[in-house]
Amino acid sequence: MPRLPVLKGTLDLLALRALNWTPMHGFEIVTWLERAANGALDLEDSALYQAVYRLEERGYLDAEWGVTENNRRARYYKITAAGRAYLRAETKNWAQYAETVTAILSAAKDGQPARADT
Amino acid sequence: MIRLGIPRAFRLALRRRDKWERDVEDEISLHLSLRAEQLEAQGAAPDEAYREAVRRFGPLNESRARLVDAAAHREQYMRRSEFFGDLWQDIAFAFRTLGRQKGWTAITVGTLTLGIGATTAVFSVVSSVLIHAIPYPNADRVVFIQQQLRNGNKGGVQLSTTAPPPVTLAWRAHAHSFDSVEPFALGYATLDSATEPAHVTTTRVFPTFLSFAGSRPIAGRMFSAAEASERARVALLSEALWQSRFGGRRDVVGRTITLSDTTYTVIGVLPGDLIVPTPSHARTDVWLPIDTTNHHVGLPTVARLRRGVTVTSAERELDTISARTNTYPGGDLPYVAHLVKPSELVGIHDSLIMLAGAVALVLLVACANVAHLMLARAASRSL
Repeated sequence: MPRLPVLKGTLDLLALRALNWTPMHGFEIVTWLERAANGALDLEDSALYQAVYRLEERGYLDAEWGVTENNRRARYYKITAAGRAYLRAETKNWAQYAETVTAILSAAKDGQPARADT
Repeated sequence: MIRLGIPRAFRLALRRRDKWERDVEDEISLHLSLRAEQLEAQGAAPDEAYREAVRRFGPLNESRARLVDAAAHREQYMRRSEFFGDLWQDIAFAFRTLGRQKGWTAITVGTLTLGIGATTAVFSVVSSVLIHAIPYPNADRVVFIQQQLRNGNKGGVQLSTTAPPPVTLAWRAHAHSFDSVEPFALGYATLDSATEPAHVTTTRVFPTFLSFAGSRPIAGRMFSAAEASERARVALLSEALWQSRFGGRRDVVGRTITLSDTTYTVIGVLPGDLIVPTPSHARTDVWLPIDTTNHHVGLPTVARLRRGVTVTSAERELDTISARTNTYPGGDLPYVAHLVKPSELVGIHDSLIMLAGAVALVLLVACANVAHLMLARAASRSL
């Protein structure tokens, strides 16, 4: 299966989703995304850091220095209430957008939606 | 050692920058080592694992610069919003506190309002009457030239008089202590017109008066020195009269008006902010060339001292010139020149200064009262 580049703007959403349950440091987020995408996403690790800095600036994430299980100093990111609201709204938008694009790509010649029985 | 404030603030900013640059660095190195460990656990050789970790991270120098930039942007933005957040919280807290103690707030606000209001009111009077007594350029060097009896003023009453035209003209021509010497004459006239005659005030001046006052015609032109000396029948209207009687029309220049049965040609309009040099700022409707032929009527004179010339030396020079000009029986000069600052001519000069001082004290008392109130409140809280 070819690895897909991440669409512009969706990385923010993916990072927020990764942090939906528990605070993580950067490497944890990256490995979580790799697991969730089943290795199908092509992503430079540094891009993830840029995304979390941006999210932090907008108030969607809080950051705090902590220590890992192996006692190493790491910066942990935690989703804020604003971040959760943003994630909910954008997830809905994304689903709608994907649905629409899929519908168009599978539409018939006359522009009618593809139907199972035709 | 305590250093100067600015370099210190600069160093602090640098230190802060150092701090989050180091943070970014730490984050990157932790990421790389965790990734390398992960790859080693999957069976890669240590060297190979680290190279692969860097490859997945992205070109190191470039990514590092991009991340530092992003972090800088984030820090700046967050510091700013934190500042405004704090400010807003402080303001909200202040208003909540004030709202809880309505009586206290009312008294404090009232006290300060009275103090500040009274001070402002008196200061605006002082400012317009004393500080800006004459709205001319370099007003600090503008003086009135008067004469006083050499042997008079013994009864404690100050008698001042204006010099006769020949003396004034000699001063104007020969005195080096002044940038300019401007005699003027105030008068009244009746402006005849088809509809209704109007009572107008006139001021007669030399054409140089305009540059002395730092003004210029807003329509037409000023009369020339020649027109002044031959007493040409030309007039300039004030902006107010021009608007009210002539509808502000440009073609008023060149028309004739009749002032107390004498016909004048209107040659221009002078701006409304040009005022007669008297402490009362009397309104002038029509500006006319000065008439210096009547030697029996003294002319009030305003002048601007040359920079660096003292009042006493200027007075001495004026006396020398008037001694040359006028011969008096007995040879003694009955009058001596006396220079007066415009603000000194204000009748209530001293009382105004006293009032300003008093009102400043009132503000001080108001502040002290408020301070007491705050102390009392703090004391009652801590009990």
